[in-house]
Amino acid sequence: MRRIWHLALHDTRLFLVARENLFFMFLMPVMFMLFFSVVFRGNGPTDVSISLQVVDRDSGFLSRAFVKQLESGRFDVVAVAPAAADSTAYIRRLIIPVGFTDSVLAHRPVDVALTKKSDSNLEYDAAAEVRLRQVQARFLGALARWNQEAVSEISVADQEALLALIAEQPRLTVAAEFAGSGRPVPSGAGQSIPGMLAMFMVMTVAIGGSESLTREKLGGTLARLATTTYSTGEILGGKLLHLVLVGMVQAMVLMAAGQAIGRLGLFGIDFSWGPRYWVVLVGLVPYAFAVGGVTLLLGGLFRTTQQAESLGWMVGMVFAALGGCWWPLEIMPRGAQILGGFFPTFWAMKALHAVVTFGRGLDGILLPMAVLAGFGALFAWLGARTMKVTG
Amino acid sequence: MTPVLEVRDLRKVFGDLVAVDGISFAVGEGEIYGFLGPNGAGKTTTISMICGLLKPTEGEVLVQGLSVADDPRAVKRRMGVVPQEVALYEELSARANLEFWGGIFDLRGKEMKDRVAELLDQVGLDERASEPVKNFSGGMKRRLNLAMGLVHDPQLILLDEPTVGIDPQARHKILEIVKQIVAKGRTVLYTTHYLEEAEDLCDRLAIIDNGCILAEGSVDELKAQLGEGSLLTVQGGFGAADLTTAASGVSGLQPVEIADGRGMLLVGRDGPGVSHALEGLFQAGLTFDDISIKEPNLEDLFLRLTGRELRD
Repeated sequence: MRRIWHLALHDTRLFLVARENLFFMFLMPVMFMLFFSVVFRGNGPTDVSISLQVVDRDSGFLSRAFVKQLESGRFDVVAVAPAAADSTAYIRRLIIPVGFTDSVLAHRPVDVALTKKSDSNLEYDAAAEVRLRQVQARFLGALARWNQEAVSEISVADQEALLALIAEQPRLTVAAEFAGSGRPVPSGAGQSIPGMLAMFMVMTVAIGGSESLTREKLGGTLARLATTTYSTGEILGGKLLHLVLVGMVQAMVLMAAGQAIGRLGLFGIDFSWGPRYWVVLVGLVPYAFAVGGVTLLLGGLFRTTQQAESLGWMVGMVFAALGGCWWPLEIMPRGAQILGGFFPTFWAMKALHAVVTFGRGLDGILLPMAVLAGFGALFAWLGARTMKVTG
Repeated sequence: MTPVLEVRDLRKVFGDLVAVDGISFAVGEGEIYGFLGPNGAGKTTTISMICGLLKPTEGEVLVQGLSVADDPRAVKRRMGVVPQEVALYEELSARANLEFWGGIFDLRGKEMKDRVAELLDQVGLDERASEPVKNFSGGMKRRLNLAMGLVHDPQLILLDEPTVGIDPQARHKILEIVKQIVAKGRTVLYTTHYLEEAEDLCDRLAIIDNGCILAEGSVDELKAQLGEGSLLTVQGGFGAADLTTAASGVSGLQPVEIADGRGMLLVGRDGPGVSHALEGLFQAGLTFDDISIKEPNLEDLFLRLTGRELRD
């Protein structure tokens, strides 16, 4: 084992002194983490205001009160004058008809019309409809408490009383969260930071590792090692351990970066690995083993360093895309989800989400860990058979 | 006394190609044994089998009586290999490269430090020991490549064309280092296709081509196979048969290699001499465009043995 460690530490040292590897290992993944966390932050409408254009054709005090109610109902209201409505673009538009105030005060039914553009975000549209019904209920509640009978009797003080009721915090709220077998789709930083970690572990190890293995193969240092007292098994073991070490260094760096980004709240990003960060770390060990095995195989297959650089990228991209590093597995078509199961990234993301999103412990990620260890053993075996150590 | 290296009936076949065909030789302590032959002769394949990189199809390799096949780890500890390609870690310094290879052979602490310093001094890299190897010239890399094979002070050193692609000054430096190694009682197997190196360096030589040893012995013994005398080389518009017939009529003239338009003939030291030989050829009606006379060397022997020149 001492021989294997001697080789692994030597190779890791070589890896870390190469400037291009440092770029891949430290700078680029952190930039990607920030970028994707910001870009996908609005992926879910739960915590954000929804844009809504309002055309108030009534302009009565109750229609204005209703607009106030909309604003307190997490709508980002853009008021447009009726005359300018036809020439103004919109995504979602609410039209308050003429006679709204009179109809409400006279207890006659009145319809407000919500229209949506055909290319609007369906998720946001659905949320807008739900919020509109909440606003409707609260508005009616306020009217009931206000309890005025006729327009002619309403004074300015009465109007202000209604507005005060509308401005009140709701007396009853419903807090909903996923429970049991319910699974939220990870979004924003919760998806992007673990996704970038899993992706860059593959990219860094597969590109840098396969390139250095190919260079050693072509340059003769691998064959030279085989002329020493080291056995082929020890040489390959050293190379594999080195790849696992690089993967784990990458993992630790990105875990620290993710935590720092979340703690500092950079660009409003809210993220934490949770209290069980050590479970994340332990869960990533078999993933690093699987990635190392893949890289050993690639190093055995590649014939030139150019192949390693270009095909290494491609392998990293395919692994990331099909493994759910770029987008949540849950939004992928069923076929793609099944295909994803053949990639280590898929199982790594499963384990990461289990710990980070669903708060599971080590016992909750044993299956992904076992699958990843199996991947590692299979790829390492194939790599050992493919890698020609003796030149 | 047991030879340091003993090779018995070594044979390597790749598919239909017989790369090494039943080679046997032995090298004693403190000896430089040369393998002289053109590219593709089988030199590197032989070295690869000796150092355990390739498994022989047949035959056996013994180092200080130990079989490479049976006890590879013990044999490899006694052996230092300097491959033909410059196999270094370019991003690391010369010192870091040597320390890594020293660590492979279990050198530690002061022993490692002293040995690395000694080698850096020996190969003339002590002043640039901390620089990344990628900044080195070809000659400096070759010297470091050599030093890395010596770091564990092996008894047997296999040098596979260690001077390929470097300038004469750097080559001279490497040959000097090899001589220093042997002066300390180490044994060297040295492959080359440079005739001058083989003549200058080797105690004994094997001339190898197509996987076979064609001749073996000291430089003098090998030259003697051509006979003693002067080598007369003629070129002109004659046919091979004409020159052979003409030469057979001249006393003391022995054909070495004859082809259409070119001939190499040995003028025996005890015969009537070069003037007499030329006169006999002229009298036979031959005319020449070019005539040269020289002492025979290993190149001539290789030409005689293989029918082609060493550099072909």
